[in-house]
Amino acid sequence: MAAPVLPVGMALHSYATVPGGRHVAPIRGIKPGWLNYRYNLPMAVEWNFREGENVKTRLLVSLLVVALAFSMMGGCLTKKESKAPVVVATMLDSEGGVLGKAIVLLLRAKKIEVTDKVNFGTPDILRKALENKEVDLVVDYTGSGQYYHPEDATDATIWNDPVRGYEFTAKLDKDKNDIIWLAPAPANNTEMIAVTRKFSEENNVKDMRAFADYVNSGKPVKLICAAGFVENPMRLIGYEAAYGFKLTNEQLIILSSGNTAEMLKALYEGTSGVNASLVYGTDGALDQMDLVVLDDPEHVPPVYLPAPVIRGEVLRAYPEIEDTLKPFFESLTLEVLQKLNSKVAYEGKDAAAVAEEYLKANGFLK
Amino acid sequence: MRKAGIRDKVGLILMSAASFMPLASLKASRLDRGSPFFLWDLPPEGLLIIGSLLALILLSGVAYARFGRDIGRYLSPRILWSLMPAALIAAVSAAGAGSTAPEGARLGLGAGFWLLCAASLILTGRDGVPNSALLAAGASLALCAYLGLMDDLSIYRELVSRRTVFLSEVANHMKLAVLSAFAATVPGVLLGYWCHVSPKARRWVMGFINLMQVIPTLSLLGLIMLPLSYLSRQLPVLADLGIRGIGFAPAFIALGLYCLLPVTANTLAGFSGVDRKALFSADAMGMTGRQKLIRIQAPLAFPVIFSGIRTALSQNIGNATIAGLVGGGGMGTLIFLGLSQAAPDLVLLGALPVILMALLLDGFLGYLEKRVRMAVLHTDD
Repeated sequence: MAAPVLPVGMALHSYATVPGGRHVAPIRGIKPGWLNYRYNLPMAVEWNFREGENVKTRLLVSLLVVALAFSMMGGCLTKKESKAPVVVATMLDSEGGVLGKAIVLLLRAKKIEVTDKVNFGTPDILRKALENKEVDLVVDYTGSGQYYHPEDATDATIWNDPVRGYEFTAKLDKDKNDIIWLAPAPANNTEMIAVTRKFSEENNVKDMRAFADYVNSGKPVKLICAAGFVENPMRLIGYEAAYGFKLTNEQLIILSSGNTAEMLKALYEGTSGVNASLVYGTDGALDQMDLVVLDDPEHVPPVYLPAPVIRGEVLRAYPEIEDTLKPFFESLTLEVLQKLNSKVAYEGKDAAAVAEEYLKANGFLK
Repeated sequence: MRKAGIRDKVGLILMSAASFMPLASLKASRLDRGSPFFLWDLPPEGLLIIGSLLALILLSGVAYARFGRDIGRYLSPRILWSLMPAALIAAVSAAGAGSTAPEGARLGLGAGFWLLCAASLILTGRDGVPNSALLAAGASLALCAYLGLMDDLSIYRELVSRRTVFLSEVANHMKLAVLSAFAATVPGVLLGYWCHVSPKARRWVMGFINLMQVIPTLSLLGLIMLPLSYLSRQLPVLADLGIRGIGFAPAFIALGLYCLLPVTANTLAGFSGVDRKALFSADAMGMTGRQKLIRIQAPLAFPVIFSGIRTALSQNIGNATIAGLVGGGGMGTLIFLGLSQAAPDLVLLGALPVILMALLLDGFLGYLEKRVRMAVLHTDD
């Protein structure tokens, strides 16, 4: 909008013009052309001195321009490429970091374009993003199928079997959502109970049976765990039923989240008398904090094998992804994952560096 | 003798209290709690660094008292306090170098360190921390990093191991917070004006906006995600534009809704606060409604509206951390990753830039506000 250049600071400043061309005395303290007093802004000049103009239209037009600018800005910020790269996203934890970065490196080595969204968010957000096609390739755990397809997961025993649980989830996801589960890693990242080595040796507690005897003998016990672990019939309630013990509320410290790093720290430092903690099978701290995971001969909790999960559409566009990831995931045993996680969580190394080092050492990457 | 102001007293009391708190701790590994050490546990060279800075401050203070003015513009006792953080880091790192710690060991900064830094920054100015002091503190810390004095600090190691992510997340955070605040400004001001002209609208609009404000951030995100994912599934065009149930869009909308309250409330207050006499005079001069709005109401309400926008921006910088949970990026990613690994230094690495960003932005907007106020009202207050 080109503005007529007016002699700013001249007679116009001392008299305000009103419709009809009459001149009136200025109001004290407020000068006409309020913004152009110091800054010669054309908009203010126009608004103040053009007579008979339609301010309403002008206001609407400028609002429209602003709105348009914003929508264009939004469009530019999130512009999508015509040939879409594979969006790799993982959970917001150490394992998500290492596995995600390794996948990114492997795909890039195969000249596949990748958008790196490693450490994307919480598990439920990640799953929603996959279903909504916001992300293409994630790392998920086979046991999660019971939450994704609760109406079909009537037979609880399949979750205790690594093969059946995987096949069940893979089949349902493929038929219902066109989401493909690729080959999983042979490492069960499930919810177990850990104690310190000192405690284990002093009380001769090496598996859940011995732990049940210890609890039933009335010796002090304090288990720190997540709320979801306590209330679930396939977790603590299942353990209690299978091994015949019962923990009272006073013997539990319940955290709202499933953040085991916090729990293991409490166990390691003996905070508030904690002597047992919930732990995940591949937790990096197990290796470093000298903890003992109690054996579970009855296989109470579901099996959680980490596996790459990809949208069918994307896999059909890049079929080579399946064979690229297979050998890598098959190499990830429980010990390997514990070591990798420990490097990230305990030694504080960059997840990408840890992943690259592992891939190179094992010949997956040149 | 100059009388010590209340700020100086607070600073000095804080400093003496902080001297008895653990300065730092030597951690065997990243998740180790570590063994704390105090000011008096520092090796001689560390004490020498801090002692010589204190002596310099004392000397320039004496010179000030003797000659009645600073010995040099940049050697005033106040400005010298801003070098304290760097001196403390140098001293702590000297302690780290002297100990025989295993590989992977690191130094975690303790409560004593942070409080001593805060106290010395308080002492740099009579009212507020002057820009020159901030500049001196920043430059001396950068020099510390360049000289490698920070290499053993836990928080610095966290930074180095994810520096590329760090920078992109800072940019992300800024983008999210600033854009959503600006996007909320136009509807916020319009709503505020509507509230001003229509008392009926005021009840409904202010009620709605207050309701938005009391919904916890995470719940609001959840509420927004549902209709957004439905919309993007129904209209793929939206999904292609990046408007989906997860990621940038829901965080952007939630933050924008939170910004409505300060902007709208301040607009309403600004218009309501316009002096009736000015409006009567305008009527007497025969001004039309829109002339009154543009020439009198808008300029008089503008400073109040502007401080509303300023409030919205500052609170947005803090709120934007929540985006890390829904894939929107930002410093929240680092903070939540730190929480999930129980690594306090990573949490700190995410939180400190948020504080710094909020303070810098607020300072800049405060300066802008002053200029705009002067330009619009021709007054300096």
